[in-house]
Amino acid sequence: MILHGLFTFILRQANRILLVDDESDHCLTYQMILQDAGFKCVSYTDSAKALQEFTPNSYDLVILDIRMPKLDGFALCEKIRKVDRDVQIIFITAGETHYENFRKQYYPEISNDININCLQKPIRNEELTSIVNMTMTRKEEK
Amino acid sequence: LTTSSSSSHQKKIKNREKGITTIHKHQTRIVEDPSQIIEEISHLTANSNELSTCISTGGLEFSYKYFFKIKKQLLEKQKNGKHKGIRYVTKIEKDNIELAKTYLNSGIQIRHVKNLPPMSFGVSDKEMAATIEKMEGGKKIQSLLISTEPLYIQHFTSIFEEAWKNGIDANERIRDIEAGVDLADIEVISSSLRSQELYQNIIKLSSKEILWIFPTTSAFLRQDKMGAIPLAVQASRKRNVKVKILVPANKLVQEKVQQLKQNCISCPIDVRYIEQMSETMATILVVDRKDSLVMELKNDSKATFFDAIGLSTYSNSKAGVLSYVSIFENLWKQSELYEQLKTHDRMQKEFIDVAAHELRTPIQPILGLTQMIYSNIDQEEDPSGKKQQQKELLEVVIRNAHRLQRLTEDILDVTRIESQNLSLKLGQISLDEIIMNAINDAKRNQQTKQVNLLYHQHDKDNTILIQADKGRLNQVISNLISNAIKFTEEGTIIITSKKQEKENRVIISVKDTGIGIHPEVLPRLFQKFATKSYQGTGLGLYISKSIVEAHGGKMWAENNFDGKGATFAFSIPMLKK
Repeated sequence: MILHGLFTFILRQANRILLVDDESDHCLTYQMILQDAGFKCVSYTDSAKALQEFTPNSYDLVILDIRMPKLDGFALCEKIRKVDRDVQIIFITAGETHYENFRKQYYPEISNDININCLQKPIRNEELTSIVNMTMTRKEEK
Repeated sequence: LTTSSSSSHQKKIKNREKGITTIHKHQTRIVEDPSQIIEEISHLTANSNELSTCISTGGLEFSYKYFFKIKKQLLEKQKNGKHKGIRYVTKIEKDNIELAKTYLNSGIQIRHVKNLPPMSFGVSDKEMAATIEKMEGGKKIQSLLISTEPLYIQHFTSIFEEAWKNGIDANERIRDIEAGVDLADIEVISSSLRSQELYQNIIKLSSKEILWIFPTTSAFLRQDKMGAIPLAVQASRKRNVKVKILVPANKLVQEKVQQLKQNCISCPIDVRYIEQMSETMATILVVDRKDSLVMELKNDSKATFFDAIGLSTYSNSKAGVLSYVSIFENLWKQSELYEQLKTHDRMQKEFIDVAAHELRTPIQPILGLTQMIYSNIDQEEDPSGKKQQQKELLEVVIRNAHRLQRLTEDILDVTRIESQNLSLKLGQISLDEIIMNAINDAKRNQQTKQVNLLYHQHDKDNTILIQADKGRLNQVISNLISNAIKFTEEGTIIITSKKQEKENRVIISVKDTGIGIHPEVLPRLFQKFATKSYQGTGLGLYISKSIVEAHGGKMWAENNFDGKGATFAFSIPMLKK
């Protein structure tokens, strides 16, 4: 049992997650939850900086807030997609339908991308970890 | 009778017959002596067995001045059956009403025709006389064509009969004028070439205002190409004519309008965009509130005005034109409201979005971090029991954070409902599955009470499929179940689903054995803030009912007949198989 737990822990350590959310408290919350579940996380509150320092193929998953100053989640997603075609992307937003429409209208290529998911804040800890787990598994299966 | 042939004929007659005054058989002559002309006409009249005259308004006066006496004699003859009567076709207007009445009273028949033939003529069974002169104010005729040729007589008789057939009874016409009924032209134009001509002319003659409604974007572009819109711009620029246009918008139209306004910045041209109307398929043009032209669209896919336009109706009838003006003005105002409404709607959506974002944001770290600390404490050893106490305190925080979260979502839902922004993500779903999920969730959350949850499915053999928003419907059922639990200390809550094939709907009911609905609350049960509980906002049922109604269903509630507890129920349309 302990060995198995250790094994998943090591496996998860290999999975790196990039977190971008301008709310530093949210960054902290998600980072704590995910690290607690054994994932390795890097977080940014500045989306432009996140893009600047983004190196392709170094993350398995990117979790993006949508409403952010300078560069919003959609724009950041688009730019990341251009340089890294395989990374999984999860949007997480406290916003409403406005963003749903926005997403459908301006980023059809994003909404048709099955590797992109959209979650709503506030999200329960178990739900977040289980979705991240599922996403990672899907990636490994590919 | 064309002008050229008549003039050549006249020349011939002139050469041959000049100066001859006696009447020969089958002769055609021009008489150019005014007093002789009067004699000739008197002769024609007196000699007639039947007399038909088609005459200008001036001619009617002329005729009265010189021949009314002879006509009276004829009418006497008619009484004795020796004359077939006198008929007139003329134009009756305000000025000649009295004269027309004198004629009518004497027994002469008159019909009114708006557009008289260009030539005035009288024709009897033996002779005809015609002139192109208008005889204004009863002025004597200077030149008269007179003929006994049967062909001429026949020709003029047939012109008269045609005019007579289309004429309006003089008495009716006089009544209309005296009653003040507007005397107007209403013309139906079937040729699109003529429509185009008229269209351009009306705009060219505009002096104050042009009102315009285009049914489609292509109609606008077509009529721009045809030259109507440039003409209006010219009218606006040169004569300061106000131009108001209502048109459905698309990119091309907007570009055109932009261009148009840039070309003449100071011109009083105003364009508003309307929704494309599916019913209205006509261009409506009103100029100076005097003339209207309604051009029906025959085929919107055609590129040219000529091919696209069907029937047109021109009118200068006051009542008709002003109706179009009021249609225009209503649409004009409506378009303004429509714009305001759109802005309002957008602002409301933005508000909901911002409010949602701002309310949800602080909940995330509270819930997320407390839960994490809580589960970490759970894994530690606790010999002193201090950690257990901390856990209990954290539970209070978590419970309240959840409550705040629910309140937030409820308030957002109410805002969505009230601003008509509640949107459903419809899909085909199984009702059983949703009910079972809601029951299981409720069981998980409610372990302290002695309450049993039972699902009673009326139709066991087949699953009920409905078209619904899964999340929203789950919200409704969960709300009803949690309400039932809240007001039931112990007992059983039975959830039932029952098909009503005839009405093509399914009824879902939640029956409890609790305290029942307080009589004070009952009448306003589904309104906002109607609650007797101190642990609720009173928004749940209001939201649930709105969600059900958005699905096309109904929701109701009653206290149970046996006096114990209440039953809440709602209907939802089933999917047709």
